[in-house]
Amino acid sequence: MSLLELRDLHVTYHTADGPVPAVRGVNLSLDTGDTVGLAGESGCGKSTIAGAVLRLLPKSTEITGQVLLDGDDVYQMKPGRLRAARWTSAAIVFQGALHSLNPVRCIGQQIEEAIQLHAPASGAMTAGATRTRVGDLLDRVGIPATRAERYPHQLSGGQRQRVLIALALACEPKVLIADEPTTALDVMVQAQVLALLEELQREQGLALLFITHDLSVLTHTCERLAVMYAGRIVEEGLSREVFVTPQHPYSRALAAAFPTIGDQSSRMNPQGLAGDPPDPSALPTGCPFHLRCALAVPECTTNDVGLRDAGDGRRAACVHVGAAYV
Amino acid sequence: MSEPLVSITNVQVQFGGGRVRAVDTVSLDVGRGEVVALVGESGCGKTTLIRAIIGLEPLAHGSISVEGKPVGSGRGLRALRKRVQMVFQDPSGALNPRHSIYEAVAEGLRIHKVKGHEPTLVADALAAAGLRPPERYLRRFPHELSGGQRQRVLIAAAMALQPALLLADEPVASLDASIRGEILALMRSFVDTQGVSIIAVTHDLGLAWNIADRVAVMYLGRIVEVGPTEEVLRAPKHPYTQALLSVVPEIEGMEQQILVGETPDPSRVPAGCRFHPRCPLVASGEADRRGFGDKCRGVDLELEPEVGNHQVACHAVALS
Repeated sequence: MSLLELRDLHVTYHTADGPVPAVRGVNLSLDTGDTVGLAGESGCGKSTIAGAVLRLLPKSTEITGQVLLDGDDVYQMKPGRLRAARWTSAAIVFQGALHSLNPVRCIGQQIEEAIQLHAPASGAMTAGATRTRVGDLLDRVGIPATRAERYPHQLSGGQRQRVLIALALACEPKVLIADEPTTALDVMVQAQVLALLEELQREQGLALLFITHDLSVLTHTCERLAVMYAGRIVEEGLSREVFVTPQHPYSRALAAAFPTIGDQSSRMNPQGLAGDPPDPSALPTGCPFHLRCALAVPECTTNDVGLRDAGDGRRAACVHVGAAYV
Repeated sequence: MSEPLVSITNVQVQFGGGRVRAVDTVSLDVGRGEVVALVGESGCGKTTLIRAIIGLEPLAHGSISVEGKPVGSGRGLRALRKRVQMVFQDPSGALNPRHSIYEAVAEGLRIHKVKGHEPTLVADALAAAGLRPPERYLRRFPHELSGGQRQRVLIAAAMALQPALLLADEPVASLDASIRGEILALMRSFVDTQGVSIIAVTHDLGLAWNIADRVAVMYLGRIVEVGPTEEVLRAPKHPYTQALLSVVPEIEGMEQQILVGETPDPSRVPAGCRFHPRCPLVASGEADRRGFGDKCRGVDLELEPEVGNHQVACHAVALS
């Protein structure tokens, strides 16, 4: 049994302008110690998946398929069970630390609150024990425990992101979902935060789902990689392989968008994709990528292919890829 | 070399009554048709430096000239701002949400009293920036366009004035990965076809590799290494440049040197080489073993020529 499993997950937002299918049939599973990267551009549905796992999406959202945490369907859980599952089974490190932290409460209190709300009832802690735990957590992410009294605005961007990681780890979750945790940070601070995440993941055997648009970061951090486009996974496999020999034309474009310094083919030759990421409320027929695809054939305008076996555990959703996946 | 387009000489920009030196004695020349990437972490002064070029920051010391004319205040400023255009990081914030795309491009033409048939000039500028056919975009408003299209509108508005210099502050940082390459290719094409020069401020070394002729690395208000892109990025000399490159995930086979501590604070510049508190050479004791540790801690230094036009401000390099 997997720690986290998504089975044919569909998520549709209902907006004033009509339904917006953000996630259209995603299957994914994570076991202890797994590191999986979810890559894609804005609007591809990757952050929606993060919200769907912990049932954080607006009430009007239509969700079909299953999200299983430790075998339990999150959408069948009673409120009490859900509260216990949030933060102890799975926790999220959100993007934009400045907006995720409460500006008028010191960081120690915010971590204490998470512990008091979500820690298993059997292990209810005294106020003193909670405070010690907060100190340990801050220490763990490289912030002196004495800073627990500080407010978010008194910390730097990198420190705030570390606080969010400490917050996510407060109840010792088995699954950690990191949604663009380093996007707003400077390169050197980004490297520090990534190194911290990798270290925590290794030491605590966390299952890590890492969501970002930056394929090169994922290749560095994650063992497996899933590339999303228009609400679906269009390619998955081992990170290194997906990055170096992408099978889907979209993964190829995404990999080429981050040039390898020293690679003469990208010197004075920035590579991009014509067109814009698709509007999820108005997807083209057939393969949703065909309008931007250099390899599109007439079949692509009608045939929306699913993931196909591309050998060695690789799968890609493209008519040009191997035999149809059964 | 013919006369440079932009000449920056010993420039200092101060804030807080001289307490903070955001830019601290910087010299840099940019030639016609040249693309220079100015890289560094937040707070290193790179944005302040390009704001000074367009006359938005008073200089405490030194001088900047564009096309041979000194950048100052007063009458020369309007003429300067026609020749020097800016492209910002966040195209959504830089466009007036209540102005149509036509207005966004035409406004600059009117301010600078550009001669010609305005609708034609606007349409040509949009088409040149890849918004084709332009008629499809003229009456639209910023919220109806994608992020990439909005950035193209800003580039069209800037290039409509036929500037000699484009200052681009993180031009692709807020764009989706697949759009990034197209915008960079567009910027580079204006260099190759119209001979415009670009100074691009960025923390993205891949951008420098993609479009820049030269790279200048800034640390705490000063350029610590400058030279041709291939030399600086493939054979970096300054320990700071080496550390920056080592954390770029795309580069393999390079041991990561993650510098400890936060981005440094320009109101408290360390004595000696300003990088020494974070420098791996000093921390490992190698600087002392090789006999220049005291210099690193005590003697401030400026750029020195390494080979040709590759310059580095580092005691280790100066002595080797």
